Amino acid sequence: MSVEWYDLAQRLYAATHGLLVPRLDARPFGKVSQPVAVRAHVSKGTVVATIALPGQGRHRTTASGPLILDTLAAYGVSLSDQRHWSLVTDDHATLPALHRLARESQPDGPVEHVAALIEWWADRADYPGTAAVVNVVDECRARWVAGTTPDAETSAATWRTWHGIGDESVTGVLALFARLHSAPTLHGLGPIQSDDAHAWTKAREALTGPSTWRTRDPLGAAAVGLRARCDAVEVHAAALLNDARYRRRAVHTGHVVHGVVTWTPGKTAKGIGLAEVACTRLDARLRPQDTIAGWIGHPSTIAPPMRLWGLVQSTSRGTDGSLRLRLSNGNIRALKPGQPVTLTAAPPSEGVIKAGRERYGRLYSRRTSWLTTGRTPTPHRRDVPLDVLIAGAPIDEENP
Amino acid sequence: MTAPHWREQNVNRPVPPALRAYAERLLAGTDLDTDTALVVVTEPAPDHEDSAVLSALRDGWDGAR
Repeated sequence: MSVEWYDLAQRLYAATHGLLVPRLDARPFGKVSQPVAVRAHVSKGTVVATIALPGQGRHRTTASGPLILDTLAAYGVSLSDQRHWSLVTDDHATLPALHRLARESQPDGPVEHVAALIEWWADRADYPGTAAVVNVVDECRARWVAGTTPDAETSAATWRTWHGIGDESVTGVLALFARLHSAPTLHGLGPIQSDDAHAWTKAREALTGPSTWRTRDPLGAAAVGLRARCDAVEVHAAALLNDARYRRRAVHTGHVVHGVVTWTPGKTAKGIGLAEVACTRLDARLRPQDTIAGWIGHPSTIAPPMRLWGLVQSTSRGTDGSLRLRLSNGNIRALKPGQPVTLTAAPPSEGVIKAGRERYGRLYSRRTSWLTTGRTPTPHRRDVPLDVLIAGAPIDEENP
Repeated sequence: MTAPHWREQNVNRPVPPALRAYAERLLAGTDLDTDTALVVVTEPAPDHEDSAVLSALRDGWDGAR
């Protein structure tokens, strides 16, 4: 991997030019409609927090203990709103401290709608790309490279300095957030934003009934929640590849593969497209049976002339030392020798994610399903027609 | 806290000591040091042309522009 040297050059550029270098052109989290900035910590067993709302710092208060929930309620920050509130902070201590307060609050008390909001934040914080919780330091690190060391980038002070923000208070957190939020949303985060909206609606609905968020999730809900988190990680990783700057860097991590088409047999007797791509870099993350997406052109191409999709059939090393990727299926047959191509792992399909999650939820909700009973499912086999067997057989190009 | 860097565009500033030390650690084992790296990212370097480190550095530098 050469990504550390790639990043080093960007750090040196930023340092010698006095400029932040963008890692992304887009904002790597969803659109925030109602931010509330909070900094909280535990001091001598008591949670202390400073809260600010946008709007020339007219709302800024420091409170401790249960008064924090009262203050948030007085500002209207609660689960009662139609539009969701987003927690904006610049450290990793705030959310656990608030969550502790929420859990310790009186069930069905007067600030239940605030405690439930904090629970919602704590849940959504597990989803990368969410607009429910924004840690400005983490997001700045995703968005820019500063002319300093990676360790220094973990400090909010570093980012304030590089953005010319002198306000060290929680209002300064909102100023940093405004810089982040001014960019357009990263393309491909739609499923995560939909999840945010859906989770907000569900949480509000739950408020009208008996308090359920204080109890442990049933097994099925926990399993689906875990799966949803994994889905969000994959969606976010795929969305990052929609950003041209990120793609350029991803060449050095092996997530984006660039090469030249060296061989195509044309349309095979079975109608399956085939092509071989020679890549000078050997650190590609693509493996046999991976589904791929790509385009004809270079990694930084912004509007690719043609989208490709297909499958990695095999990988090998050519006599010239290059990595050879044998591609098949999809629209691979359209490739011509000599064309430069850029390939990545295919992004997850929103429809497949939704259907898979529903199927998973059904299996967990039915007491008789193989998943809840713990029984290994019985395989049901039948004879495969000869035509299907032939079509699925490996292709031997030398002895067709 | 220093003055905001973003106001001082296109000024060749010295590399801060902490970043220089970090760079030297990353370049250890290669035939480059920080100052040489800052030169060869923008100028032809016959002695280093085929090196993976120079290629990555140049790509990062060009990507930053």
